[in-house]
Amino acid sequence: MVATQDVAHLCRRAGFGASASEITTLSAHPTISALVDAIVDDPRNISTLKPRPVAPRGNRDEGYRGYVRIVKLGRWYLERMSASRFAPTGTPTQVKYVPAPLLEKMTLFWHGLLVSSAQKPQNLSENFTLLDQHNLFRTHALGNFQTLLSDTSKDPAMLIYLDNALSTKDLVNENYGREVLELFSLGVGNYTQTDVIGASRAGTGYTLDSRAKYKFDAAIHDNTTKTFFGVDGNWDLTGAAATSGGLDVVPHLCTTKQVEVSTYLAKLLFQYFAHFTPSPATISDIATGFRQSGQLNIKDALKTIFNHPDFWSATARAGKMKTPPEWVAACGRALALKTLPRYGNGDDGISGATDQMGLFLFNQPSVFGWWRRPEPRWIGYPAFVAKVDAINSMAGQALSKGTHPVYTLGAMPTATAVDTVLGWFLVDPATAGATRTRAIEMLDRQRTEGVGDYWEHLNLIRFIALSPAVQVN
Amino acid sequence: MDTNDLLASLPDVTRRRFLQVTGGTAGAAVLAQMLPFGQLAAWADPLPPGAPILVSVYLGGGLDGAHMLVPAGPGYGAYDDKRDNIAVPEASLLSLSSTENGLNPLMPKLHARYQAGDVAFARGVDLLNPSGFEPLSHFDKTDYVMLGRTAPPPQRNGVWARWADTQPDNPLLMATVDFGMPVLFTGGAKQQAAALPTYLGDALGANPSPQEQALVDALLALDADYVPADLSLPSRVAHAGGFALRTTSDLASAYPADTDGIDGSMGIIAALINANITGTQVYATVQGGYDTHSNQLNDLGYLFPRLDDAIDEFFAALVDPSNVIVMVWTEFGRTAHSNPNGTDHGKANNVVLAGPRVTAGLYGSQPGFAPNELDANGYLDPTTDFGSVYSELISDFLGGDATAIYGSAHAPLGMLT
Repeated sequence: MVATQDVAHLCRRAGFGASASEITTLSAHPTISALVDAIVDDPRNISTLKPRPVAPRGNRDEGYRGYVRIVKLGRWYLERMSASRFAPTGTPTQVKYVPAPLLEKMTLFWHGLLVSSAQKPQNLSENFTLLDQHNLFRTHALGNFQTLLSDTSKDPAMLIYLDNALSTKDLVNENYGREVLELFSLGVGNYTQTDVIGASRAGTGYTLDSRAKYKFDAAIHDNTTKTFFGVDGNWDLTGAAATSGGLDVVPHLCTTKQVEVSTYLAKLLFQYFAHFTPSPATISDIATGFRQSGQLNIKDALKTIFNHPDFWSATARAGKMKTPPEWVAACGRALALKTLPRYGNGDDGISGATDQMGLFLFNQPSVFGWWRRPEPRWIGYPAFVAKVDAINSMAGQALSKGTHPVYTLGAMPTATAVDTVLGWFLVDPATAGATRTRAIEMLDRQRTEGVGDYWEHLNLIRFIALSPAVQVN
Repeated sequence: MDTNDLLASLPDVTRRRFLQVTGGTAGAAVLAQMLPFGQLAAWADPLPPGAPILVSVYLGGGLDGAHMLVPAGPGYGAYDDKRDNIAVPEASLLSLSSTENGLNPLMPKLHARYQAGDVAFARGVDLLNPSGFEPLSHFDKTDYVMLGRTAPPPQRNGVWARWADTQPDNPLLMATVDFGMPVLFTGGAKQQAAALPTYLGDALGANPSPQEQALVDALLALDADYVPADLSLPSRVAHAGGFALRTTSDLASAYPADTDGIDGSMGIIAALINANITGTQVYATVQGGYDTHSNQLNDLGYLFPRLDDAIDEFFAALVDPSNVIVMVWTEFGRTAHSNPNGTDHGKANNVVLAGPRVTAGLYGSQPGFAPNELDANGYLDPTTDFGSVYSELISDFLGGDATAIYGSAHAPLGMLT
């Protein structure tokens, strides 16, 4: 048996939390290691899902339609996070289609690391590439990193966002060649400008056709000698030119530079799942586990993280600030919303509201991504303002149905009502501290003032959603 | 000091907020709620007449400075040779005091302000002799420019955070709009900066209904449950909520309706300066999109007019612009040569200062584009250290010991009156 608080910790970090019944089910695993295996090896983690949100008819402005498309895609993605379950119930067919939390969370990780953004596409065809990239990340989210990075190097959204589609042997563009080293694989300090130029020249020819689909154009590929990490040769990016004699940048990074790549990614992955200040020893442990098979299998990294003592340390358990998608998913899940709010005329929505929270899906402000800053934007005043708006909408949607469980709260004693809502948000009342105390005081006051069921419920949901007990765990 | 004494000692704005939040029933327990930072009475003080205000505008991604302040005259030929596919035609340039440069014609309003004597360009600016970091990385370099350091520092405290440490306590002494919390403002000994929203939405503190008052009070009480010194995440989340509720009521009266884009962000800043309720002396915001590896002519063709309009509208909106300076900067320059239709990461750029306190002109030396003028690796050769710009703003504008705050001595360029 695994202790329920351990199951809850793992479910919060490997996914978006779990219900009491899920935790009971998962705690039946004999050991944490067995539970980790079950979560990482869940067959639902292999996704062939292909979302195809479309822009509305009527407005022909391509910029507007492109924006609407990514907002709709973002809401669809947030709804999957909210609906994800570690231990779904139902028929095998029903279970198969319940989103797997770790897949959703790892897809988000790659989206926040291997950045492409809606800020770059110039037309609807280019904008559409962001959906294909999302599918790419879903497909390889828990797979092999070399395959993921190779496919990303040929991914149209990436070829557009980091300009490699425009790079030619005569006029080399260094954007992708730099970031594939600095941000996607090695990190600052592990390469030189000579390597940036070598990688950039190797990547010439990886471009797009007129329909924004990937193609390799040998005519613009630099088929001459380049220098990359001290080796002179006819370097290629992933081997498309078939003239490199095995000198291909991405495979080279993932084999010859495997220690550096695994170390770089180990730190980011650990920070994403556990806490922001891992020791060098922890990072080394995770990196060693990541490359244990001789390849960079992402599942190996995840299992090493979830079994590592530092993942279970007091520092990790002390709480991690929910990212905006995690917070929205927690709210949607707590309120049992099958769909998340659409604002205005239906073209905007909850994903647009996450802009001021600091994490607007598919619309990153820069290639830096979301996971590196110890001070992410989702801590602070602007994020609070955006969260007030968002929880107003979500709670309003829940309260609009007279059959919603929220309407059972009125018959409960104050403390029971508060504990019930904390439970919806997957917060143990015993650890809720000041949040619980103040929530009880607030509900008592409102009942004395006689503000009515609607305001009692709305305020209780908003208070708990905005509290540290929910935002940090 | 009892509550009545404290009330009597507070400035009007503070007293008004105190009574708003407490509902006029001030007591010791409520008083504790009101002072989560222990600095409330200070931060609400209006600035005295003549107090300097700096507005830092970061052009995110690395502006191609030569596309804004274009080499002209004898230097134009080498510039055109290096980038003939994206060069700004010499005949189109707006003339400046020196024939060495002309201004991009997409910025006529900045040009008009230059001619009126209010715009200075520092040329060839960079961190000279950098070591220990990656000078061509957006993120490493941006951090180091904001730190004002040419090598890894003992403490990661931004330039304006160091200046703020020398000033009286005020958690809103520095504020960002649409910029998160950049290194520029962080790492100081005191918490003197806040990120402000680009819109206030339904923020509860702006105008709570009677039915919402219990919620507002509960969130404020939760804020007070965590002591100011507690920097744990739960504490910071609670404080963020309390800060928002306490601040929004005042901001709501000042915020403009349209807050989108760089003009929107600068519009918020102008409105706050006019309202004079926060005591803020350094603002920071950002206009992104300057990483023009591709599509440079189109992208800068879109960005420059918006920046031009934003700066112009900002000054036009100010009731008293006499002691306000806008500083426009970016992390690095770009390659001297162009790629298919853009430029890659490079060195040496311009810093633009605008405002009545500025002495118009071109300062520093324009890096040349001729092969024998580029550095050993073929980049534009920086001529002016960021320290000269920062130090002048500290010593001759915001006030302070520039050498002590910046950490090294730099001769001012003479851009300020």
